[in-house]
Amino acid sequence: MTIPVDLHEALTIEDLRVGIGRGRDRVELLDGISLSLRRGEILALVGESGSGKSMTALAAARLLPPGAELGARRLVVGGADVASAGGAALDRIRGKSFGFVFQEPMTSLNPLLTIGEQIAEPIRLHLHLDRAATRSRVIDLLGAVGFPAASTRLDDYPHQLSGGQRQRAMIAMAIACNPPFLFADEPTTALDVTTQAQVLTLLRSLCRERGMGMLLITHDLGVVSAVADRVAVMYAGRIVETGPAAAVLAAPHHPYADALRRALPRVSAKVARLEALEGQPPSPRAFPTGCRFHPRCARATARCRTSVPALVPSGLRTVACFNPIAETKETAP
Amino acid sequence: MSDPVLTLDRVSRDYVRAGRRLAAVDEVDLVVHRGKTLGIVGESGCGKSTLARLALHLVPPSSGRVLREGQDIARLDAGALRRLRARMQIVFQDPNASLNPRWRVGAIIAEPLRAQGWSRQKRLDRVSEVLDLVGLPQDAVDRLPSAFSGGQKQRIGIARALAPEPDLLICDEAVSALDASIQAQILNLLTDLQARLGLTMVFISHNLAVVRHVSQRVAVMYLGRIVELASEADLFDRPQHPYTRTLIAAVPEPGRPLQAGSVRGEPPDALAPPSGCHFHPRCPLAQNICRRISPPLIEAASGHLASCHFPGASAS
Repeated sequence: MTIPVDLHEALTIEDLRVGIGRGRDRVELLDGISLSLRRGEILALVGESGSGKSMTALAAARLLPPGAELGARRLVVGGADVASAGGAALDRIRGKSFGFVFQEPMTSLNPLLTIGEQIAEPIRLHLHLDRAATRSRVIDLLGAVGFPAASTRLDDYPHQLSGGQRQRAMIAMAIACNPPFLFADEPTTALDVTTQAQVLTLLRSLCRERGMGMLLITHDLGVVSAVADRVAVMYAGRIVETGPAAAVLAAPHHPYADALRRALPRVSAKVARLEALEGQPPSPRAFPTGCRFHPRCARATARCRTSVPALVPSGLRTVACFNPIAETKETAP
Repeated sequence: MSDPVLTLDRVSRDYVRAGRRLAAVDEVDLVVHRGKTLGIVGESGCGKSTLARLALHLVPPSSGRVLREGQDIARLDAGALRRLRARMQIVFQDPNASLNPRWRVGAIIAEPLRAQGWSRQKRLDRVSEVLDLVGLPQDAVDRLPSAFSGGQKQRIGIARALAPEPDLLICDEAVSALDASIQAQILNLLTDLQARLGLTMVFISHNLAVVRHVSQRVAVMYLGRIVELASEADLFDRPQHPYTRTLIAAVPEPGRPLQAGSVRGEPPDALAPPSGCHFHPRCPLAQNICRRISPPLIEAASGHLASCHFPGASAS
C-alpha cells in the first residue's frame, strides 16, 4: 500500500489512541493525539508525569510495550507509514526513517560494546557500507556531535565517558543514517545545566543543518523556549494547546498551560510567592469527565464537567478550552 | 546576623577512590544564620550532598570543625549528640526511596520521636500536629506511603523531619523529583513553615531558579570548593565568579535566549582536579596565575565573596 507523502513532511500523527486492558479494566492512555511537523522543524511536547507525552513518542515509533493497543487514522514518521508496518518492515524503518534519543544514556547504551560498535550498528543494517567506510562515517558522526579527537574515542566503552559524552554518543547513533526525523525523549533531563545547554544547542543545529524534524519531549518550559519552534501542551492524555513556542510560553490561552508557566520559579527574578496549581494530575484510571483539567481549573463552568472541548484553531494556535484566557487576534510573524 | 545556628570552619572531607584522594569537600567556611535559608548550588559531584552530611554529622569531617551554636559537634558526648540530632533534620530528594513502604504514615512520622524517647501519647499528639502543618489529612496516619502521590509523599517526608521540633532543616534536592505544579506547592509550604516556625534552612539543589526562590544567601560550589557566596539578589543579579555567570546563563528559561557558548567542556574528574583555580580549564578569563594559584574566597564587592583572580571581569 502506498499513501501520498509530502516530501517536506517529517511527522504526521492523526487521531492516535493508546489503551490497555479489557472491559471494565480498560484504560485509555492517549485520547486522539494529532501532531504534524515539517523537516527542519522542532516541536516540543510538554507536560507533567503521566500526561502521555512519552507514550505519544513510543506509540509513533511503534515501541509500545506488549498489551498496549494502538489505533491511529494516520501515522507517518520520516516518510514511512508506520501504522500498518509489521516486524520486518519496522526493522527497515527504525534508524533509517527516524532516530530515537532516550533520557538516560547509561541505561540506553550497551555497556559491553564500544560506542563505535554501537554507532556502527544502524549504518551496517541500513547502509551496507564496508568496514573502512563504516568506521570513517562513525568518526565523522562523533565529530558532528562534538567529540574532540573522535578517532581516539570510538573504542571507548560507555562507562569511560561522562554523562554529556554518552548523550552525544546516543545522538550520533540516532542520526547515523541521516534520518529525516528524530524523537528525543527528555534528552537533557539527566544532565547538568551547563551540559544541558551544550546538548540542546547541538540538537538544534543538527536539525537545522540536516533538515531533520524533531519531536522533543520535556517537562521543562525552559527547554521548550530554548529550542522549540512550536509547542504542544499535554494534560491527562490529551493535547490542550498548540502554537508557536514563544507566543504560547509568553501568553498561554489554556488555563493549564498558564498555570504551569506561573508555577515556575525564575532564575532571572525572584517573586514573593509562587502561584501553585492546587491538586495533582489525575491517574488514567480516574480521568475526570468532560475537560480533564476541570477539577483544578479556576475558569471551569458546568459545561466543562460534561463536554469535552475540541482543539479549535485560533490564529496560529489550537486551544481545547471552553473558557480560554484570551480571545486572540494573532497575526503571522 | 550575629546568631549562627550552624558554622563550618575550614571543613574538608576526603574519600579514597582507587588509591587516590578525592576531596569531596575542600576547606569550606560557612555560617548559617537563625531563621534564614542558605542555598547551595552546584552541578553533580561538586560536593553539595557531602556538605549536607557533614552539617548533620552523618559523616565526620577529615579536618576542620562543624559547630552548632558555637559548639564543636565532634566533641559532644553521646547523650548531647542524640539530643542535638533531634534538632537537625533532613528532607531527601526521592520520597519513594526515603519512606519505608511497609510502615504506616503515622509510624514513619513518629519514628524520630521514638528515638528521642517521647511517650506514646506525646507522639500521637505531635504526629497529628505536623500532619496539619504540612496539609495532610488526619486519616493519613493509618495509610501506607503507596496510597499517596509524589507531592503528598514529600509532605510526609517534611512532616517526619519537623516532628522532633528541629531548628535546622536541611533540604537535599527536596523538590527535584516533583512535577512543576507540585514543586510550587512544596516550595510554598517550605517557605510558609519557615516563617511560622522560625526554621533555619540549608537548601541544596542543582536547580538555580529553585534556590533563588527560597534562599536569602547562596553559595556556589565547584569541585568541593565554594567559589562564590553572596545574598540572593547580589549573586543572581551581579555574579562575580565566571563559573556562576556560566551557570546562570545556561539555565533555559522562557523569554531568555540560551547562552551555551559561554562554557567549554564538562566538570573535570574530581580525582584529578586542575591545578590552581579548579575552573581555569573551562574559564573564558583564565590567565597564567589561574593555573598556578588557587584564588582565596575573599570580598569582591561589599558582603559578596568570590574566589577568582579577576572577579566581576567579563570576557572580551
